[in-house]
Amino acid sequence: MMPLFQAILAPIIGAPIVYLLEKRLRLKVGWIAFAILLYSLSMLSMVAVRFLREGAPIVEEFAWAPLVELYFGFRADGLSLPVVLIIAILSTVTAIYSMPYMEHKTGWGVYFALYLLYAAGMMGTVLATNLIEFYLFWELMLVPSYFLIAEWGYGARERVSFKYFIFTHVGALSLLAGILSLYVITGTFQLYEIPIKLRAANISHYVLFWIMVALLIGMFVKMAVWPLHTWLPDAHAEAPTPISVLLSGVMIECGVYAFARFVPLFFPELLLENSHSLMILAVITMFYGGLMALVQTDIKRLLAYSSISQIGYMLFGLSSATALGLIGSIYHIVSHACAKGLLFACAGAIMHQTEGLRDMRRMGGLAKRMPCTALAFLVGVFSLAGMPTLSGFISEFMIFLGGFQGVGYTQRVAVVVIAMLGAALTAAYGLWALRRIFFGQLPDYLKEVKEAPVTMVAPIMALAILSFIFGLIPPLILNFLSAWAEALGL
Amino acid sequence: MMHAPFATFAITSSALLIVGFWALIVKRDAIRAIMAIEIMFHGANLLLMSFTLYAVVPDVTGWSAIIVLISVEACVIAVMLAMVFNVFRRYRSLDTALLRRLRW
Amino acid sequence: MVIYPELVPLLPLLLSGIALPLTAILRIDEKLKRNIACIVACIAHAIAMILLFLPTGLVWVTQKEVIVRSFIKGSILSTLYVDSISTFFMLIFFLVGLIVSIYSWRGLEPGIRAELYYALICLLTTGMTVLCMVGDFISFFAAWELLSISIYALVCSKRDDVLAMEAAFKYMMLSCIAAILMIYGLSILYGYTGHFDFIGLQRALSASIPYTVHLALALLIITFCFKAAIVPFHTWAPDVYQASIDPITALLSGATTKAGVYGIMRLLSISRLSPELILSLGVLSVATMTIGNLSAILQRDIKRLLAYSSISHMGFVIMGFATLNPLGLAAALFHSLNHAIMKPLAFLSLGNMRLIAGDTTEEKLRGIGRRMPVTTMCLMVSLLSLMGIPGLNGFVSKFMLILAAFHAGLVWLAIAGIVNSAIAVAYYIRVMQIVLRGTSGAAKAEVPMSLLLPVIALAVMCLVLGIIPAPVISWALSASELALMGKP
Repeated sequence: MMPLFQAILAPIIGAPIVYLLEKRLRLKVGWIAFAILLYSLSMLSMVAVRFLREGAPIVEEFAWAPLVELYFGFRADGLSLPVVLIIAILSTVTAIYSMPYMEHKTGWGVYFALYLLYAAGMMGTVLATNLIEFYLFWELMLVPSYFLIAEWGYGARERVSFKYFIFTHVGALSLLAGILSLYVITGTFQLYEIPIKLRAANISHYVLFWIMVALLIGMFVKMAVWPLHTWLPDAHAEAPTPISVLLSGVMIECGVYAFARFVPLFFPELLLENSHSLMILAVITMFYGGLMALVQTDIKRLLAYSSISQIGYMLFGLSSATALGLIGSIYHIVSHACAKGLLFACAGAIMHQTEGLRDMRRMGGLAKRMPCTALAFLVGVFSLAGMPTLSGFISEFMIFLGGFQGVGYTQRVAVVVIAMLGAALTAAYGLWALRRIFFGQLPDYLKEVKEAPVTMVAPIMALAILSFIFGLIPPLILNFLSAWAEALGL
Repeated sequence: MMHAPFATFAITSSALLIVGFWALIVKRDAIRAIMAIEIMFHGANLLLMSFTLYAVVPDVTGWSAIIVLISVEACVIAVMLAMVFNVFRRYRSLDTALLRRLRW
Repeated sequence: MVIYPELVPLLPLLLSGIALPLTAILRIDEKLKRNIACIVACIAHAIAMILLFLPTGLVWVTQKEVIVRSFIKGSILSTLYVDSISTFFMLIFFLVGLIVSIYSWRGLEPGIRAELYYALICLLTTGMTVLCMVGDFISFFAAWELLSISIYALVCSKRDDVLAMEAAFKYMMLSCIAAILMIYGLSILYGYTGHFDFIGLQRALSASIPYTVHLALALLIITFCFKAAIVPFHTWAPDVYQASIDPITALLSGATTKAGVYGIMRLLSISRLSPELILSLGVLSVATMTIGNLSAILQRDIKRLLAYSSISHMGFVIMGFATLNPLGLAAALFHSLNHAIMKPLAFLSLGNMRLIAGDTTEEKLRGIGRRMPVTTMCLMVSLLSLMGIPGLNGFVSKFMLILAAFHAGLVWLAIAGIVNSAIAVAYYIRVMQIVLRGTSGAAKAEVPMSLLLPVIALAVMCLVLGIIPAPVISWALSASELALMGKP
């Protein structure tokens, strides 16, 4: 039956079909894309239920080119299932969201075809069982997103997409160098054979460190950790908003997933040793993103910098090298996907209704005209700031508790201070944006603004409800993640 | 029959190669360029001939090789002359300095 | 007179090559003559390719030596030597020749005499096929000159194009010098071993060989590197590629450069090359990749940019040779095949765009993507494949090359390969942006189907080879293991 394979194959096959159906269906091809992604989502849900019942990871394997040791497989376990599910959910609802957004643009067939390939790339990255397949899907994420930004983006989209491509591709090449070095040492690409062979090979500490650095550079470029973040503000701000939702919501989190998958598996001791340096990097990223977000006037740029800051949170959890920290980071992937996706979708709704207004200084009092959007924006901001009953609270709580456990007694005070300052900063820029956009005086040129159409509001509301659900019923995700943490031996 | 020692042949063939190369670089006339290539070719052939002559085990393969090479080069020279003729028809002169339009 | 079955794939090509110019004297309509010539050339190539793959064809031969005897009792005319390496390259040559012949149905300008053009293409393919099949270096040289002559004539096939004539003239001079160097090297080889034929040379060179013979082998490699456009013998390539008409550029980049690669591969299978020579191959490969990429970044004309990109890809192929393990050689072979599919795809798509836009400079091609969606998509496939994006064939062979370099312990070579892949992305993206950006404002125009079909076929081949590379990889691996048999 191979549900995982079907889940990935469906969007890939669907892409040319959607392209060809554009002539007959015009904008309605978006519904075909939605149906395909819904099918993938249902396949993945079936696998998730099976995993929870059986408790063992579900793996599907094929041989691609055995002579050069290229195998192909999909692995659904406690780590990959929550991430791939949130990718699928976000892609599915954003497919509906794309339709009203793309009303006044052209090339719907190409857009949805590239969109499906992009979704397939992200899902494949998370489900990959060997390093080469992982690299393949990592690059496969890059090409459609490049074209999507270059074609339908705003501003200086050529330069922006070019920079995005070059940065990510060079990072991917660094990743490839690390992967190939691991292959030369261990003789295999399969994820779960490498740790065994690595321990047997008895490699010098120094070499292992540099291999980890090569892999980390690739992941950090994708995650936009300071100082490799410079591509993100432009790319996320100038991308078409549905693509910004996916870029900020799930694509940069694929880097976080890669870290969580590879580093504890291959280099557990190195992670423990360098935990403090990575934490410092995370804190810098957190505050850099937050402070830059505070001074932005363009709503999408503000959200982009906020993404950088949230990645800082996730890296903080990962680098603490404790079970709670790691689980918290992955939980934060889910909550950030819902919250940031939600926020970008609201920004897009505002842009759609006000004919492209992005400057927050010219907005105000929109809550009267667009109540649903305002409510959703509120939920998103509070989730990021970590208010209880929303998913952000659970994830940030776990991240900082993990950080607390991971440092020595003297540094715990620092962790508490960082946690408080970080939460304050996030709340600050979020609430200030909320106030500037939705409250205050409604200017004259915005008096005629109406609420966004249903096809936009429904996805936004869905994401808001998800934030609540994941905040109120943590076991939904924690069941998966604790199984993974147990398997890791933490 | 007394042949000159092997070294003479080797030096002569190298000399022919060098002279031909120099002529190709320095001379500006297209026909002279072809002649320079002919000289270089004959130098290489001379070397082959000297190896065949002084072979420890006499073998006819070398001689037949030389004949094949000469006939192949004759075809090549024919094509080169046709090319020069083409150049002449276009430029009305055989000055290779005129063929400077393709640069970096 | 015995008919040698190995020579049969040659016959249609050879006969077409001889017969087509004779049709020039027939008094029929020009257009009809042109179409007949094209059909004859296409059928000849197709028959040759089909004959390769028949159950009795050469593809299934692992190694075979045939001695061709003349009717004078006992004397040897020549030797044929066919093995997996030969058939691999023969496939490349037939494929590119077929695609270019089909493309030329409409892609020829009026100033070109069709019967002579197709005759030359058939003779070119004949020359390359004979190159793969012969068993001694003298026949090899004859085939080498046959293919060189055909190139000189094809490059200046447009009679009134001054640039083409210049390029052909310069290429002619340089190619003759290279051929003379080859004769020099052959003389020294013969002087030392007393053999021209591959089997005899293999036997004689299996023991340790003196320095002079290494010099001779180096001279031979220089000649082959010249044909393959390796730095510092690459100077002819940008000019010749830019000045020829698009189908001929596709043929040159796809097929004739691979003839040089075949020469190096054959040399590797015959003798043990000295470590210094292998090291210098590695250095040349890094130099070629780097200079090719850096020069490509500076180009304004897209066709010249692709020419430099060809040069840098040949550097990748030589990297495979420098590793001296079966994976590396197989990777070099596979990359030659992939490049022979990707580059003609790019040049032919560019040719289609030239037909609509008028020229291949940046200004003329800006925004042409909107007017010609199908061709542009094929060009995208080619550029993504050249970049090494997974899912297309370029990635698999590049990956194998870098892996082989790591295996051989040549980490500097592998890093150079990875870095050059990164640099190359810059100009490929630039081409993509130029083609896709902007609105040229004009209406949708597309070239006729006969020009689209070869391009689409090549694009499909790129995709298929990227997803299912296994059969070709195993063929290349068996060929390279054969080559390295018995050598350390």
